[in-house]
Amino acid sequence: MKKNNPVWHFFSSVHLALTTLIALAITSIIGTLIPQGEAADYYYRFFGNSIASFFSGQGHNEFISKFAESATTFTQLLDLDDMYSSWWYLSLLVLLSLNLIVCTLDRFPLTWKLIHQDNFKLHSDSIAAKQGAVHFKASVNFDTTVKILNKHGWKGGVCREEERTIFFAQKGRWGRLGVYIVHISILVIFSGALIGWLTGFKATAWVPELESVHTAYTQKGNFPLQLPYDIHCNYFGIKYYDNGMPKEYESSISLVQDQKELTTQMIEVNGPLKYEGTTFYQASYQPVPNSFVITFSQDVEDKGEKQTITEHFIADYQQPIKWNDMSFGILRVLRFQNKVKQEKFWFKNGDATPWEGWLDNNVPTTVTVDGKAFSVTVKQRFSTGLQVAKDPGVPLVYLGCLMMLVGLYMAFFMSHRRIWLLQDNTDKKKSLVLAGSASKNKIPFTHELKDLVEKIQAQTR
Amino acid sequence: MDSSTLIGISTFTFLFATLLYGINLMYNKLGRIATTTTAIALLIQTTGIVLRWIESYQIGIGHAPLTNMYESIVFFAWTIVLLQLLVEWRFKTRVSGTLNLALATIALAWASNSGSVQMAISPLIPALQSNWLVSHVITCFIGYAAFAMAAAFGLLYLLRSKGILTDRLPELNILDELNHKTMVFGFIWLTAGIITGSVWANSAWGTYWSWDSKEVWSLITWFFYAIILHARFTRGWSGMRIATLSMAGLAVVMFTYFGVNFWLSGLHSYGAS
Ligand code: HEM
Repeated sequence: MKKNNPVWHFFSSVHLALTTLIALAITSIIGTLIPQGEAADYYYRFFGNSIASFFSGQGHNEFISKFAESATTFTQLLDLDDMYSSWWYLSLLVLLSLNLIVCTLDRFPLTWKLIHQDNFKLHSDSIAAKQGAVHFKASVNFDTTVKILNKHGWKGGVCREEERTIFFAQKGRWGRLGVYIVHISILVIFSGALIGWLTGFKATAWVPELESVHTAYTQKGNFPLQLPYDIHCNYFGIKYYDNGMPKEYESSISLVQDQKELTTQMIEVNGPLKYEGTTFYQASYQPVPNSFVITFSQDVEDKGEKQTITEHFIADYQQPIKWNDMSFGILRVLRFQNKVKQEKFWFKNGDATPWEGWLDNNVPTTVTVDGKAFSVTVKQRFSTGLQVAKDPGVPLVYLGCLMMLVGLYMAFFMSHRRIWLLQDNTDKKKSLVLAGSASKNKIPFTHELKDLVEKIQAQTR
Repeated sequence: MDSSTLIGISTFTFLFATLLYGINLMYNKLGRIATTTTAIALLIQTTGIVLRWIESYQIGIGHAPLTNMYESIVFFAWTIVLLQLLVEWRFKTRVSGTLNLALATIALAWASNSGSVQMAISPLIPALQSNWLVSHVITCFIGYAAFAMAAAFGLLYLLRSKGILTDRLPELNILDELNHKTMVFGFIWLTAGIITGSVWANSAWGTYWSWDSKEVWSLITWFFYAIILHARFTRGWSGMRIATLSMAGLAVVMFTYFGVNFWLSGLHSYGAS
């Protein structure tokens, strides 16, 4: 019934699969040629510049602007500026999925039957007629022949009937499931992607050092997203190689809820913070103009125990800060290639004469005032750019990937090989028949059968 | 001796082996010598790669030599030659040697002499500092090399069916089979390459797929070979059509490898330097 249904036939056909795959392969190119996710005026300029590069010289301006205008309209009409989530691209993916589902339902029952079929039922003539079947005389009896086959890895069963005795063994029959595992793995990956799309989010949060932020902004559409906690940035720093290339960007991040610290971690590129399914990635950074972080540490003795007290301050350029009896601030800044190298720092404790001097950026320096030693660090203040993402679909996507690799291995490298050994009991003089079939590598398999026969014949009593 | 000297020596030895394979293909002579020369050259190149690894530690930026365009080409050549030896061992035929060694030689010569490929060992930018980088590069390049191999068998099929070298090349159906086998091998590794790339992207940026141009082109390549496999398996295509498609496939692979870096922009454009 299914077979005669034209809709079923359409969706189960490999023609459709080829057409869809070709369509996907070709249309996917578009998004690599047209930049994605830009504003309308960007496309106007983009198309204008692209076409203009073909026409050097004057006189084409009107044509160029007309072209740029219609190309931009066309782009927006077909969502080419966001084509991988456009209705038509998603439709292709839906079509592929339907195709896979129907194709699987259509073929799987047959494959399952093939895996489980009773191979002793085969008619002797059809065994003897198999490609590569060998008719031979053995000097040993049937059971010894079976033992030789066993010894060469063919373990199976014997069925004794009145007319014939038959031995059957098979290998790799589950390999027939490989193709199905591959096809289903694609559906599993798609479901994972769908779950991530429906229930996850991807957002960006900019957190200046020593401040907290409660809102992240989605990467698509820039919608505000309230987080259940504050993200606090304790520190942001860049480490450099000797040649000046950045080696690592790192941020110390705390999640804080109702004044309570939930977790604190130093994150870096390739080393995010994970908290209850939400992940915080080091994505970007920005200096906060004219703003600095000053860190004081002082060793104090409290009832014989040594302790270090550390305090952080946000200092604006040339704005004095008061703390207990102390006041301090930043007088001047030395920059090299837009990077702050040194800050001129002043520091006054009570009525003592103030201390003044250049400090290397982000390097702790010991400053002694009035007989007391302080460790002072002055650094450019940064805002760390975090990607805040939650994707509950990832485990399913990974499961799909694993299934695909296992399935591909089974589909490509496991061959369902079957052998039959047949003896005609009505005519003992007739030769034995060793026949087999393989779902792959058929020619080498016929050689394997011949080898087996030679091994049997080499056995003499 | 430093790593670039060794890689230079291996390049010349590959060139020599290309000629030997050529003689073997034409006159059925010197086959063993061609294989031995190739094995020695591969050993020299392996030493060179390991040495480059050690050198990167000596200058204090230690990382596996798989991180820029130059290093990737060296590894690509290495993989092709290794696959050539594996195919010889597994399928007992040397016919693809000339084409594969020529490709390895050209790739190495271009990488060492083209001004657009930087040879110096450079430190890793933060985004590349991940263990997934190594598994990603290795899996992708085994895939690429296998597709190059498939294309070589495709070309040999074409030659033989045009009546060239008929007495020296294997039967058409055997060439077709070899083409299919190497393509299937490449398909698995390309799949693994796309997967390791996604896992890495997810651990570094929180997105396993961001439709960056390199990702899209690797997906296009993957579709391309999936189409060939289906056409073969379910529509019974073989022979000339598959041979031609496997050569076109190599063009798609090469665009994914180089073209994207030079003409399109995206996350992976570091490779252009
Ligand atoms: C990107 C998507 C797809 C991939 C990666 C894929 C992968 C595969 C693989 C690896 C094989 C085994 C080929 C071989 O053994 O040489 C196969 C076979 C097959 N595929 Fe797909 N496939 C995809 C989509 C589809 C779709 C949409 C259909 C829908 C009809 C389909 C139908 C088939 C059929 C009928 C076979 C032959 C199975 C058999 O008779 O044993 N495939 N596919």
